[in-house]
Amino acid sequence: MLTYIIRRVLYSIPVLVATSFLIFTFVSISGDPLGRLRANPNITQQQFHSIEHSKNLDRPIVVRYGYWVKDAVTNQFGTTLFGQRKIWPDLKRVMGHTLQFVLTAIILSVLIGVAIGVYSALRQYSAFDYATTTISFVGFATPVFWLALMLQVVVVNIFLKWHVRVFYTSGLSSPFPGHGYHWLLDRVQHLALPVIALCILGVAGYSRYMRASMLEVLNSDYVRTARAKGLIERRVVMKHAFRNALIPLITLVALDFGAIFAGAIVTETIFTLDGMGFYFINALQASDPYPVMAWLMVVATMVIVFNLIADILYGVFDPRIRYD
Amino acid sequence: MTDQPRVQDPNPGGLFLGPDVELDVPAGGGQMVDRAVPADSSELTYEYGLEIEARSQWGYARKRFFRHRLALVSVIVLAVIFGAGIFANYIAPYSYKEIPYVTIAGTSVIDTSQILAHPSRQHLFGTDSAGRDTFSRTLYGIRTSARVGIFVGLLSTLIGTIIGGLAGFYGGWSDNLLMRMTDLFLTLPLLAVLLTASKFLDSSTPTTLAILIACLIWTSIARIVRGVFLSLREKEYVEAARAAGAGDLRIMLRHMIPNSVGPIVVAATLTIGTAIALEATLSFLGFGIRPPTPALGALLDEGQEAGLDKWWLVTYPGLLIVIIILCINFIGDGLRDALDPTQRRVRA
Amino acid sequence: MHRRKLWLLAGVVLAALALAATGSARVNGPASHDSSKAGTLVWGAEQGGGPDWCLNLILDIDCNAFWNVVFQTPVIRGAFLFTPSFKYKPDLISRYTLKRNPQRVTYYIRAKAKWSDGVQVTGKDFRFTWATALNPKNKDHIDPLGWEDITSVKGNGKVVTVTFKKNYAPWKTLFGYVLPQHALQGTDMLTVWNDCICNPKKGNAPIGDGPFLLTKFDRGSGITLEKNTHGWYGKPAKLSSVVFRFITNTNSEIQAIRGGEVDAIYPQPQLALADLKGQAGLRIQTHLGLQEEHIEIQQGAKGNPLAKQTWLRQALITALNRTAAAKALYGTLNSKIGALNSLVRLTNEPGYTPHFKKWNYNVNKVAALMKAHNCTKGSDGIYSCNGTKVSFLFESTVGNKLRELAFTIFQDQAAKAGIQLKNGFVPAGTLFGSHLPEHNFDLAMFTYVLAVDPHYNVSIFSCGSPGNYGEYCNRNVTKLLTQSDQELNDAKRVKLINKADAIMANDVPQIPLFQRATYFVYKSNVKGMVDNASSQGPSWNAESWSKG
Repeated sequence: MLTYIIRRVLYSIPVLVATSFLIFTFVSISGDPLGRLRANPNITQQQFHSIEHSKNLDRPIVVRYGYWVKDAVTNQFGTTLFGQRKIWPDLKRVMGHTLQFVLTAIILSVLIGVAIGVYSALRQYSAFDYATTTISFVGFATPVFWLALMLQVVVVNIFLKWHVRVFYTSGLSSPFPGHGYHWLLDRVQHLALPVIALCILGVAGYSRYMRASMLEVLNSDYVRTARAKGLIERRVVMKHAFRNALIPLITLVALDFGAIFAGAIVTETIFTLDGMGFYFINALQASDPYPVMAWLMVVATMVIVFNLIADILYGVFDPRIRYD
Repeated sequence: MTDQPRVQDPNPGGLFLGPDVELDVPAGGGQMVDRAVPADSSELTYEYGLEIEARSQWGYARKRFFRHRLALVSVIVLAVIFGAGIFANYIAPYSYKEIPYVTIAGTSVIDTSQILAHPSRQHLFGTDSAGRDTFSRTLYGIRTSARVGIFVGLLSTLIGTIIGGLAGFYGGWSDNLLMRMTDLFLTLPLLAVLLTASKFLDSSTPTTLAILIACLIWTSIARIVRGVFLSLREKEYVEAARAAGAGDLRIMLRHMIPNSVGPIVVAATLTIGTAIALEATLSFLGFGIRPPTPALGALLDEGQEAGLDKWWLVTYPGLLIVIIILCINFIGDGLRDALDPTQRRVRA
Repeated sequence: MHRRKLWLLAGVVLAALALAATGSARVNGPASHDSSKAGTLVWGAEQGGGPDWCLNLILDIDCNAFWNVVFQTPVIRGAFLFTPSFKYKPDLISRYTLKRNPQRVTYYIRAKAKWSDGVQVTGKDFRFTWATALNPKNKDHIDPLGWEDITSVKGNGKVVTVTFKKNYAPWKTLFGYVLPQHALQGTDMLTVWNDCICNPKKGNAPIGDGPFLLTKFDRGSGITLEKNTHGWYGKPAKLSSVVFRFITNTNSEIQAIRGGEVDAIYPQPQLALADLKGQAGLRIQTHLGLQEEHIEIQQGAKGNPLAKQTWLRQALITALNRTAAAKALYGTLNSKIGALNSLVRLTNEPGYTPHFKKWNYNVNKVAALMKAHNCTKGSDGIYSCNGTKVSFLFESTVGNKLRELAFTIFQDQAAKAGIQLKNGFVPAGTLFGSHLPEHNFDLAMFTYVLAVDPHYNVSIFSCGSPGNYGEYCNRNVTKLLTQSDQELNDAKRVKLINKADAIMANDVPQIPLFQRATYFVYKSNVKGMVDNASSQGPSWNAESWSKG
């Protein structure tokens, strides 16, 4: 097992390098980073070339990649194209914000999703199963941005009608959030809608997945064997079925991590949260390739780490998988 | 744990079952099971196929599918919706770009009374900010979205199954190579890459968008297929087939794929839904299919830009997206119940 | 994990959420206003927060977004302020004198003008501002236009004399802000004000000479201005603080003002704003602003060859019903918006003459023009002239629904007149970043955000100017415009520009469409809000704002 883990970690390194090159070339060819300067009539050709040169944009792409990697490693991902801002401090800040609500959303949706999934698998074709199936199917079918907009409208209408501020519709905190409990409350009120928006899809997906994998396990032979052995049903379910059904879900959650970050793009845009997704969309709209690359790289690194964890967990939990 | 000696198959008799019959037997039926669960690994249990009868796999599947009423209803609803989209040019009362004009004092001007009109008998779904008939535009929108979704579903499943299947079946270096490649795709967050690529593409037609999505979305299917194949190839009936001299391709096509159809179908259906939702999301963020081509997501975006109090602009396309994805998912679920041969526990 | 435990956990989390929700409802009961303290005004700001968004007002090439001006006007003052009627009003100075040949301007700085740390605003600050603009270190970040024409800035006290090399008509645009020399001398201008408007020599203490000081900048979230308690030359601010929250999503912005999370917004015109019209407790001001929507016509090598012909450009403008489009697009937002009929002046600017009024929508006239030039209609109803189809790729920015709507309407109108417009919408970055500067388009619809000073006409319409995307060239127009830039008499200057416009009304180098409206929404308990539709923005009188 240990050799496997070491080998798997070592594998991740070339993946990381390949990913970084992929990201760099992909973003580099995706558009003219200096387009905005080109458009500015106040900038002369000479000024333009001096900026181009200072950013090494007149060099071949492999050389630029080298500079970029150097910047990324030694110089906090370098600076933005126009504002000369260091990228990493900003990225670090928004990452903290995003993690706050993304982790909450993941934990909540896994807990709720697993609970619903297990219960409806155990009571397959029961009223509960049908109800949760329907609800999660509807949840799965509802576009996140659509849901987010609706949530906003609902909360605002509640405020207009009853003058009760349940949740805020945008931002991370109030102008003067206070301290301690008040601060926390303010934060919860601000992050609740994005968390709900992210959770709906998560719960729908995970409960479906859990139900499916639970059903599969419940109908497998070892569970049947366990039943035949005369084990009580709860023990069968919990000890045999649940554990085994959880394995694919763990993998799924780990693999979903990147997708959830991407989902944060939509949520954060709508709720104007100073998080990673919002940072990304702003960078993209500003046609500034450097923050886009840094963002993709950070998320990719996280995903690689989580993949690693997923694979290891898979190995730990499911001895059927052999590693040659 | 990695190089644990493998337990010999105690029941070579399984070899002599024909493929059809064999598939009808619960996976692992008639064979030693439960090597997998550590707690029980000490007990070797034998279980013989309980339902061996000469009914074909597909007969079972059909029966199961028809028992799934929601799936059946979904097929009908989806057929109606997609049908309306396909025949939009016959059904739609107006063209999707028809702007109403009236002639006032000799010059023709846009009929402002027809702009943002509530739903009425002339305009079932009301009109949009240019006075165009939303019902007609929605019908054409269905056509576009359906095309994107189905195309993505087929293409990504194909790519994913091939790559994941090969990796899972052969294992070893080819698994490593293919999975590292998949890893590479999976490390990049889908939506972010799609957005960057759409920015690069400048103009997205439904086809380019579909290909783009499919080229990025196949990875999850590949992972799933690979996982299933990895565990399937340890199954005794596969070993049995191999021992009987079946070629790799035959084993994959006749044994592994049919036994992994369930997960593949579930994943593929979810993919179609995801594709339609992605189209909508891209449109919402301003990177989707370009107007005037109506797609459901683009319509939704247009609607919300006109203000959420123009409820008819946002409700109908939104509802249709939900219904379409809902139906596709129900169908996928029905198919799952029907096709997954490992699932034998009939309604208790 | 035990199933029951799992349920329990999920239940606890849900309960916690619910508790938080109801608990919070109690905290902010109906009585308390949401944007908290009465002395604080909360704005929803449409820009700010992005990775490349910058606060540093010194770098006017990098940080030139509209909202930068809004954030900074209450903090750092300039020689002149634009009034809502598009006029220059002496701000930091009490008066000025102007002498010609060579041009010499003497500014009389207000006696009470001082920085918040007590240091007086003097000629040193003016000279420092000039030197900063020309410092080679800041070269690609500060626009040297106009500053280069200054030969000297003299005077260390309250009287400062600026001498120019040659007559420079747009001189009032210079010293739009004046920097504190004592605080910034010797620091790196490229970074010093990146995160604050402050004195780096005094531990980054906020500095300013306006009614407010910028005390907090939460990158990505917002900006807080607090009252300048040290006094300034104007009336003291009524509010104790102003908070700008970055809300870049239109719908969120609208929901935020509806739900009372912000007190005021100043959004770009969009259809959804019509929602706010009926809501009680909101006030709306709308004025015609300094934004000109127009269609650029590429007359150079990369465009449709037909567009080189004056008669065809005339046919094109005749094929578009600009008035009808304006009504359909903006009717619900601002009933005053009609077609704009001048390329050089806006309807509410002095000297506006509707030279383009002669190009009314007229399908028959288009047909006559086409016939006169041997063009024939094809089976699809589109004309062809000497084998070239009268078909244009119509570019604009993707995602802007008003523009998409405008295109839809124009496409329909042009098709009825036998001219084909094809959808060529691209992302804003592509349009402004490559297609326009590379002159690689047929038609392009976009907005010029104009200055009060008409200098911009020179760069837009002069032969060979980099800002002249359409490659229009008429030597007479160029000559008139160049002349105008050296004419120090405002009335004569406008006359010269209008002369050029009269020529252009015949050439049709561009199609003027409409002047966009500002849209200023605020709660009715906010007093003292006066829209300023010039580039100055709504914060020009921040000191008079109050909250009831």
